[in-house]
Amino acid sequence: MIAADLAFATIPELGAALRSNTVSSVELARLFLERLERDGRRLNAVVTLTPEIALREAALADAERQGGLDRGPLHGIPYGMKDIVAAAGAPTTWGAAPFRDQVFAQEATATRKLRDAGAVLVAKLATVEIAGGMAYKNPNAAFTGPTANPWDEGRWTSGSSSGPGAAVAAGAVPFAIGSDTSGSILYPAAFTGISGLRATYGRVSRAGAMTLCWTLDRLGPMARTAEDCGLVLEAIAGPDPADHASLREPYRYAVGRTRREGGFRFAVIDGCCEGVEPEVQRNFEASLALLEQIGTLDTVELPDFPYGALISTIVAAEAYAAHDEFIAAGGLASLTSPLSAGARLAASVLPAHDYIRAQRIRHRLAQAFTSLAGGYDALLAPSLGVVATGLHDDFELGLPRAMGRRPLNLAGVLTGSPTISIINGFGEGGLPTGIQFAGAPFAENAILDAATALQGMTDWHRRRPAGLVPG
Amino acid sequence: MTTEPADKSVSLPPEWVYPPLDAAQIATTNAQLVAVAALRHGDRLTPSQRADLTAAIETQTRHAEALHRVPLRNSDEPAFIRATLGDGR
Repeated sequence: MIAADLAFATIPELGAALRSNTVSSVELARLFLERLERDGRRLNAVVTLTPEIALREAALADAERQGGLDRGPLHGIPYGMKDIVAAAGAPTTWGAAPFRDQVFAQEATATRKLRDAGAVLVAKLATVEIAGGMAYKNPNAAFTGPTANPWDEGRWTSGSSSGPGAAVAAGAVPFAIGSDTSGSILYPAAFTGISGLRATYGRVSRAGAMTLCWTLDRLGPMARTAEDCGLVLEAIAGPDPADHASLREPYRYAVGRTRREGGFRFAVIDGCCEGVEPEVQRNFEASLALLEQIGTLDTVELPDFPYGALISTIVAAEAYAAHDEFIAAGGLASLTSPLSAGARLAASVLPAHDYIRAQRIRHRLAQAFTSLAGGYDALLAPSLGVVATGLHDDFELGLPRAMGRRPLNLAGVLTGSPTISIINGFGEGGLPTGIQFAGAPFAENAILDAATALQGMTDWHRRRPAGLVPG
Repeated sequence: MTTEPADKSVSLPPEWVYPPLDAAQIATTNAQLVAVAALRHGDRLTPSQRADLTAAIETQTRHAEALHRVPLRNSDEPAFIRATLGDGR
């Protein structure tokens, strides 16, 4: 397997190459460090390279494998971590200038779990500053600059998990860990044509990750395929005393389980293509035609709730509270986005009863949505209504249509249920489009199996950005 | 036709509805909220930042009005963090 093929290989393919001694973990670490240095930095996807950590962990993985110890599917596989998650031996900048020298003594639970699984940390990856929680109006909202999309470097990756999206799409890491509060895994996955999984709220411990919104924040895998996402989720999921919102229920993806390949029950969200770009709709309908071969297809109404008002109110209140001292001391003015200093202050006069009202409505939404989603393996909609927007465009030019009038994404966000986005074709300018599979709480394996089945019938996830230098 | 008198022992509560604000009330509310926010932070704000603050408060009030239109029962509880607090873990 040549270097370029390794760079775009899936986790099982890399694992097979390691186990057959076609390549070593150290060689893989060096390959991805080189690609991060060359492509990742040019795209503004990298905050910090971690070569010392990477080569040490990779050498250990090689020695363990040679000694007969196999830690599982991630053993010896390099990865990148969104830079709101702590790793020992590297800064954790939150993407924000005031925190660029911040170092935590204790690593995050997700980082520790990945090391226990034998994964190799090669980089801390770019994020919109404070994970986007202080308000921003264009992609230039991080001290590392706007992150460019590997499919067209004049376009954006979306955010806030911008670095993970760009790095995976560019073949600069096999997988990455992103975070999602209101779409920050799903949107970059769609814009960059990769697979991004937001698992059930509480499935992955957030201990050691920056808090944006306690009742919404989730960490999750961003990778080449849905199967890769399942393998990574299995490694990072599980209860954690350090995050009291973490679920006690164990999660298993590959261990002791046979993947479903058919007999799915799908439902399309009625009106989900209203206002979307023609190519987005065309690709979505082409995906539905394929999914009909492996399951039934209904059309359903999303419960009628003021999704935008709910998410905006909850994010405003919790993000302000989580960064109360920073805001009160005037920290917003030191951020890159000029919007933050004024706009986020609005939450200082948001009445407590309105925030609690939003949470009460959210509870009713969760009951209605879970009842709906429980009748199906996956609810379906385009991940975003547009392809990647300009690297220097203000959001008014793209995001209103991108949010859609039938926001399945926000229903998944607010109800804590799992959603995965995978690439389902290309639209205007040769840019990726995505389809989202949303499931009932705890039903990650149903949406992962369905998404894997669709990827088995297509090769969109095998395409590579043409502009990248081979090798 | 005659009907049986209603059961006088049951006293149903009135249907309380969150009163909507009219445009003038919303404008006054927003102006007051901007003034309160500026009390604490205003000395640091440029005219452009103050305009962003004003726009954000207008959006916030509009969203609150949307939330007030969703009927709730007294027993509807908030969807806070799901795990039990202080459970000894």
